[in-house]
Amino acid sequence: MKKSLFLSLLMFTVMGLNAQKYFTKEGKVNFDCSTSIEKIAAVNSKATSVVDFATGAIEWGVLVKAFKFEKALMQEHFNENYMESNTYPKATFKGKIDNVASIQLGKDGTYNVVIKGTLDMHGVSKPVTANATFVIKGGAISATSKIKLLLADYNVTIPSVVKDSISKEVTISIAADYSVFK
Amino acid sequence: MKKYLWLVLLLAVLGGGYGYYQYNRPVASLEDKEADVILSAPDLLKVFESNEAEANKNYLDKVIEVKGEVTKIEADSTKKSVYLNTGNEMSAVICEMEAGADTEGLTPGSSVVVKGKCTGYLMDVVLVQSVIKK
Repeated sequence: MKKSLFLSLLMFTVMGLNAQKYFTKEGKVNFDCSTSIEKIAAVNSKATSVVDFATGAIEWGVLVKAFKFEKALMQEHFNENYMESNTYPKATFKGKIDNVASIQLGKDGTYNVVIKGTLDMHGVSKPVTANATFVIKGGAISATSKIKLLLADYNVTIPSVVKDSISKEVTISIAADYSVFK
Repeated sequence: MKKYLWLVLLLAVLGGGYGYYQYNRPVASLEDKEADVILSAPDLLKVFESNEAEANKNYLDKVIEVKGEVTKIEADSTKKSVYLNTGNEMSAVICEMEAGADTEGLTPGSSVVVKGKCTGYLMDVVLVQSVIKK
């Protein structure tokens, strides 16, 4: 009797925890460091993200080589000269949603939150703070965010010949539709 | 003297043309590319799970031909992805299809051979620019 009660309690907690965890493998990460001289933008639609609304923990991961550029040469330079994706194939973000309790999963709405964490890219880890928006509509959860980074912070050096065509500041926009983690 | 001037001009035009072509060259399709490696989906995942660093060295940027069973197809307005069964529920081989790739007739359960460029391993092994091999 006691054992079955314990088991059902355990089941209940596990299920309860599970219902708070959401993930996606189809997250989108856009990258833009265009200048007036040249459009330099890429999109990655294979980002993986997990978010736990019980604790506020959130994680993102992208494969650098999965960024798609319009021009092959740009994609090659991005991988070989700037991101060195053979040595650093991934970029990851691990953080925490500050005011996660404000997000009510059962209630439709738009929730603006602050996420603080660490971005690991090109072999450099740096703290990052991002404003993000969670939208809950009919049980579906989606999130968007936009951050700006300085390439120099991540040891990405721009050769002086092209320094006017590449912005020193890169804008990263992310978007995800989350599903329940089973 | 004039002869040389023409030659120089011709070279400049050719060089400029080549540069312009290189600058605008789109990412090449894998359709006509030979695969570097041929593997099954479960084997490809295993390779990355057992030693990721080694697998990165051997497979990153390589054109891989993967044989597997389709578990699901994710599609939105901009792209399609085919998920291949690896025997592990949490980790798939995800093939992001080339724009306009034909996935007609593919349903969960059908077996398929996909050719794609390996970009690495997060929770899944990801191939991009994939095409269905007929």
